[in-house]
Amino acid sequence: MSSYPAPLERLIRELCKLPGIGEKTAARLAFFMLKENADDVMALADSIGKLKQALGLCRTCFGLCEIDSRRDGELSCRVCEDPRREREKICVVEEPSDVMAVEKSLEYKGLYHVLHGTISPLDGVGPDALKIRELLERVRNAGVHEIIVATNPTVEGEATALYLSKVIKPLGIRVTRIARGLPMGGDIEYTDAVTLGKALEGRREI
Amino acid sequence: MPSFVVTPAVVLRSRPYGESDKIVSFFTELHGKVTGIAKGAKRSRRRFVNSLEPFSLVRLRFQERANASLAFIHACDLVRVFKSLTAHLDRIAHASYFMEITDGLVGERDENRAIFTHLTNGLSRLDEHGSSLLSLTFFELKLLALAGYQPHLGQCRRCGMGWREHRSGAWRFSLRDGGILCEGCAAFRKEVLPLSRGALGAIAALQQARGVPPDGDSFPLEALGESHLALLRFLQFQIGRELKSAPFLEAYLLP
Ligand SMILES: [Zn+2]
Ligand SMILES: [Zn+2]
Repeated sequence: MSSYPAPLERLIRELCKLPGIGEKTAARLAFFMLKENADDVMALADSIGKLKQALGLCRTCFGLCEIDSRRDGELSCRVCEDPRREREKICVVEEPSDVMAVEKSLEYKGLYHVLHGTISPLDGVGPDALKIRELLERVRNAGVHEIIVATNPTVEGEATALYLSKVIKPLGIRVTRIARGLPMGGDIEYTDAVTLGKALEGRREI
Repeated sequence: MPSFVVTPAVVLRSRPYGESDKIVSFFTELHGKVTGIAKGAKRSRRRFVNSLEPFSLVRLRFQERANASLAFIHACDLVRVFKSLTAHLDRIAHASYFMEITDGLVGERDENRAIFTHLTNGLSRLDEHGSSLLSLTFFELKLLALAGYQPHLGQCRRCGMGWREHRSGAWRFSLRDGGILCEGCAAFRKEVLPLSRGALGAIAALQQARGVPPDGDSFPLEALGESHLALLRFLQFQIGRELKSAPFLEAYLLP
């Protein structure tokens, strides 16, 4: 890579860190940007730069949420704010990207809770490392009737679902798991909207 | 190019690698532990349908790669899913621990058919009969023996005194000596754990059992619990690190 001028080489090195981008693709992208007009390139750089500053986690569901400077750090996402959502249902997912996947299925009108991980015995990740305490707090206070566990169909996802059922059911709340239409080892994020919609519809009590 | 190898295998561990791949460790019947890369396993499921999750018994097709420690995983077909393993927290805890200690005790490509059989039997029992302290201790002891780390629990490792012949005196398990020490020989030693006669008796009986653990009712639960804790410490000592699955196992030790 040393044959490139330093600024170009730096950009190529940064682009290489992105998923699915090898050195060749990185170089092609870098040269493309070099040819683009300055405004377009600045707009791209600006949107990347603002990404971290403008996005935070919703203080209720821990999903992604735009930071509203007018409201002084009050972080509440669009779903949590929406009065039309069914407040008695909470769909529990592993990652913020899973919220988008479930939303695309258009099947679900309730609220969400993002755990930010799964219980994983082989990685030494226990319930305390996840947003489970926060979920229990929500469930106790907010008139929730059903928790839908939409963790991935993996050993870790199952362990997490079993654990949630164990701690939430004694509170008198229904705990359901999305249907087994999804293959073991699969990922909700990469499941098509129709399959995911059916899995939600066919959920059963655990 | 080296040719394909096809072998029955148990999935020990599977972790995402980059955006779309997975790195998976198997314990194979013919080639011992094999760790390889499954390209595209995270996104496309066609080639690896349901088959890369821990605890699965599979038919693995892989290829060694020149100058690379990771094998190339071509295909992996599901032979048997231990279905009830993932339906109970205690079974997940025990099975995860089985996987981690097997992974930790054996090196890559150390062929050992007996361990493969022991592992599949252990998962099968867990799947059909659920978890128990007896099965757990039996699994630990037999695995240690098969991997070449059999603890010596008949006589004192220093002076040769047998615990059965000497009715008095406390016995200790020494991690460094890989066996028991009498009270005199264990004096001033810090890395030793107390081991009751009950636990010594249970371990001795389990060491003699072949294939399957003996009848569960013959051992008091405390003796088995004590044996398991000593073996856990010994396993961590041999593997050279704390076991990540140990806290979860502790929480769901009993069904
Ligand atoms: Zn929210
Ligand atoms: Zn001695």
